[in-house]
Amino acid sequence: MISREYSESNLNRAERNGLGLSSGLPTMKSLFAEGNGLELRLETRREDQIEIVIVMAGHQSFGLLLSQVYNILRPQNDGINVLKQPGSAPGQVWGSIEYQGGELRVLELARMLHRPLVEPIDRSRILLTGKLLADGRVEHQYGLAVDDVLAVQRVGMEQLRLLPAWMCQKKLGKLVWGTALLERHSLEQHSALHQLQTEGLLTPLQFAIFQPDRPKLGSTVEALSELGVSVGNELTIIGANGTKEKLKPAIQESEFQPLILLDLAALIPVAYS
Amino acid sequence: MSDSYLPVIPDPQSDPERLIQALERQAMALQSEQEEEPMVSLLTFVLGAEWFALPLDKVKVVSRLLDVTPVPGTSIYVLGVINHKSAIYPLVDIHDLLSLEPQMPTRSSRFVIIQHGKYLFAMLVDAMAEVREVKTRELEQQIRSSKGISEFISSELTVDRRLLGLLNLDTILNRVVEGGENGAI
Repeated sequence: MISREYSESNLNRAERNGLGLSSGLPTMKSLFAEGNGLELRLETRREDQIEIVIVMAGHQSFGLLLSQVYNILRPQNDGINVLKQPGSAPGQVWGSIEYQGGELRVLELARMLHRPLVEPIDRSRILLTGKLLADGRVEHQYGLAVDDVLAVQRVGMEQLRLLPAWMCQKKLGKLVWGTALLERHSLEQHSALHQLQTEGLLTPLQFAIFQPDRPKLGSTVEALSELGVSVGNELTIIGANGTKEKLKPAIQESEFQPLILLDLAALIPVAYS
Repeated sequence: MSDSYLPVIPDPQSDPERLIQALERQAMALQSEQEEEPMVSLLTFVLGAEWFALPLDKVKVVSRLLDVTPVPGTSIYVLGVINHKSAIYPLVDIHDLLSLEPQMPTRSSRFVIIQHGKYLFAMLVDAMAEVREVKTRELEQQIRSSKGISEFISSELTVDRRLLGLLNLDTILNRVVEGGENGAI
């Protein structure tokens, strides 16, 4: 039986794996205190916070409620057998793996969100999710394959922003329920590509849930770089004066970056279609 | 114009009291004439190679470019969301809607944050021009005499020899909201 207790174990596991558990506590420096060398720290009560798992899918980071994630599998280490590949039947978007003696359906988040696909690496993970029942059982359990799990972070209610209803009324939009304003540097520090570049972790992952039409990660980064596109969420700024010279970006960087929050329950009908 | 509008020629020999009263009448007449001519402010900007306008009272802020976070599954006319002073706004690009060539953002590009009824959103424009004061009466006359070139342009205006398309935010927003999904499961 899978219970909510997995969340705490995931937290501990995340720390052990060096994924970085940051408190996310908002701080406010008082102007008066600064002059005296003091810092006034306003802490949000724990019960006014939610815990989110920050994942990467197709060059973009997304936030998932930790309460909806029951376990995290590492395809390359956990000896997982693939039973069905996605697309093995017409219209079938899910694949399946062997898990605890049964068959578990798996969706690829990047493909679901129509994000650019990158070659899976050894940081790719499968998150276990489903509908938690009152008696602790999990109904409609499925796996969600992501490119990377970046961090588990607590977010205060004051950092959450709902999106206008008209933005999220379409089929896929129902998956998006809001945004969390996170400090820019915390997201940048957690960037998987940053880690790949600095640590040289460019080990491809051979795992059939990730379909073979994904481009090579190295070539993707190179191609984007040649196009002048920075890997991230920024707009591309190119000079309009006809020359090849690119203008310096005129983008104002705000201290806080919106992180799109997803409701994994919205994917249950897709996994069981 | 009535006689009371005629300028008063001060007569040094006249009664100062009468002179002051005449000047006051003249000032009041001038003031009422100005009050009868209410003005409307239009924010003018560039999309593609064409000029457009919006009533200034719809515009909350004009901002330089900010980071854009893509949102999956929203309208194809929504580029994503932006964070402006800790508030989140959907960013709308209407180039395609107006059949204009998509432009790469440049240093001149701006985000115009607009409030129209229940909708609060940012719009990507290629360059800002200026705020023009137009007499409401003249604006209404032009709107009556001009039919919009498309459902998204309520009328074409000529302000200081420049042709401006007055955006119809109702139809634009209807299309943006109904617009196809930028990715579907």
